[in-house]
Amino acid sequence: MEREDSAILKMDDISLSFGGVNALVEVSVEIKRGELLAIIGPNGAGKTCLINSITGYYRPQRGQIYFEGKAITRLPTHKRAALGIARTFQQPALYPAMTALDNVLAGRHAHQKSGVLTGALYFGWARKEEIEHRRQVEEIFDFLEMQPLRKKPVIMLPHGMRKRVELGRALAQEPKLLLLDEPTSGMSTEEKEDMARFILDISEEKKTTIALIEHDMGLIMDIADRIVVFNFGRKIAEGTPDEIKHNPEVITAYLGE
Amino acid sequence: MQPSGYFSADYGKDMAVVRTRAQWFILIAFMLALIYFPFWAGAGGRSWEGVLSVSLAIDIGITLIAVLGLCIVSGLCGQINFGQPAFMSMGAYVSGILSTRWDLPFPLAIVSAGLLAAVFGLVFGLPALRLKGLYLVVATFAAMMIVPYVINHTKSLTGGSDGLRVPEASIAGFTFDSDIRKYFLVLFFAVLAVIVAKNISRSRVGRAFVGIRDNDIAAAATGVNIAHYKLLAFFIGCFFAGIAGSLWAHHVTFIHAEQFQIWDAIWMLGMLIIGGWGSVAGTVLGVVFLKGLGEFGTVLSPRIAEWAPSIPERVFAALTSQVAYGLAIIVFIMLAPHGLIYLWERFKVYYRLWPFSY
Repeated sequence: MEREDSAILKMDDISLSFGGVNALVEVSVEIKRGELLAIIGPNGAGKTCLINSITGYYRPQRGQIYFEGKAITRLPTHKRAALGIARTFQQPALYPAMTALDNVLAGRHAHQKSGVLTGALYFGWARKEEIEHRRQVEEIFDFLEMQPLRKKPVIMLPHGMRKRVELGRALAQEPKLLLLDEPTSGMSTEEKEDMARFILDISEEKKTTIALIEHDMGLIMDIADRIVVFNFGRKIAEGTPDEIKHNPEVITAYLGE
Repeated sequence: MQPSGYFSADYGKDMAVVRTRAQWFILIAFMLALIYFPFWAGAGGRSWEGVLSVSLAIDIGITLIAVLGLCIVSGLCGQINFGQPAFMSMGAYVSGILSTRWDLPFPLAIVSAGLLAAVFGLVFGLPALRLKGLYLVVATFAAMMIVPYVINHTKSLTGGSDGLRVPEASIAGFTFDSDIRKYFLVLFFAVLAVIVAKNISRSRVGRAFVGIRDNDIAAAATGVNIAHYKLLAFFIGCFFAGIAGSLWAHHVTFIHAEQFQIWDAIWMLGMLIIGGWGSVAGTVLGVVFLKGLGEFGTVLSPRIAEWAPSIPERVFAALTSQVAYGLAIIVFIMLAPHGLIYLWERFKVYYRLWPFSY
């Protein structure tokens, strides 16, 4: 094992296949505490599979995953979330009928305690807890500059705002490791700039470790500390943006021979 | 959307269900009207042909409790439960058997009816861990088949197809033997059920339910234990059904497996659709609307038959409730799929903005 404080997440020799399709092949990746790691690769390279394996939605056939030195390979998704792994999805996976506020409040699930009986009474302690968490959610709304969205049902929001609400919900989980699956997909340039600014703010102010999948090379080269490159389920390169830019294998993967 | 000029001073106020003084006034006036209603309606009912009767109100109240349970398991948590009447009959028989054969007092009987129906609901909720949508409908439909069968074939316990006589509810020597007394008993439980359902829907558990309904993958990623909460939804929903069944048993004082029909399962889901899927206030509207419609049809049909004697009476008999129910559900699905509560919300936005519509 590595020294615990350097790597928050360690994937050791992960292999994941669906029938004959090898989605991930003997992948070992480390995410260092406090870094902003970008995961890139052509379509179908296994980037999302990697995130799904970390959150527990997919179960790799081989290999071990360690979070803060603890093996989580066999833990169910919700327990990994409680440990401090939060994620966003390629297509915003929100609860459309709820307001933006309730969506973000739903992210507080693991931090709240009230159950059926206390919730049904909604009096005294349970109400106090609800108000306390509302306050913390309001801070996230301030942080992501989405105060006007509070009481709007998510279904009424445009795509860019939905992505932001989803980021808010992930932040409400107070994650130690934040996994962002294409946080700027389908966005205009201005929205992308906003999102990049938020990601940097989260990284710097909250000291949250972030791993993001992204296709916008310009954005990645600007904000990432380190880059991991995938192709056909294999890790083909790893390094700083400058190293990756000049890596011949990466250039081949993206542009062909 | 908030009324103009109204600002919440703290989060507690902002999160409250009843926020303004006018809303408090309306709520209290409504509760007083509900309390005054049985005295106003009297024994024979009031209004046209006695449509507004106490017995209709009792029927609405009992159905409301069962449908609120359905609102939690199907409306909030999205697990379509086609067996709510079966769970209701479970509650009715548990309460009936306990109070006739074991002489258990009513408060104990109704609580055990709720709990046993809830445990029973857990069993039928187990398929929900694997099944979704239509497949789950079929699985819960099994409850509608199994429960009457079991009731009819355990004659020594349930009275079988002869039915079961149940005494009227009594608490500490006070017997709920008249319609007016029963009305207040049902009113108490119905109000309690509305409060509990509303509070669950706006607390942590309710958000977890809606999360599972709208996107279970995301819900799991935010730390919701999907299996646990699905079963919890079934437990709560069937607890409501058990309570409703117990009230029903002590109301009609004679229960029979045939009183809980497959149609009722459809109409209950219809009430959710008409009221507004997943909304507690909408559920209340839906139940009142559909039950009122059925009663209206029942009263109306002999009158139409008088006016038009050439048309056979059975045509109108069919028209009464069943066709009216079905028609109402179809009309709502086509024209207002989000239900009455959504129409109300739209109207609120409209009149708050009037006369400037933006």
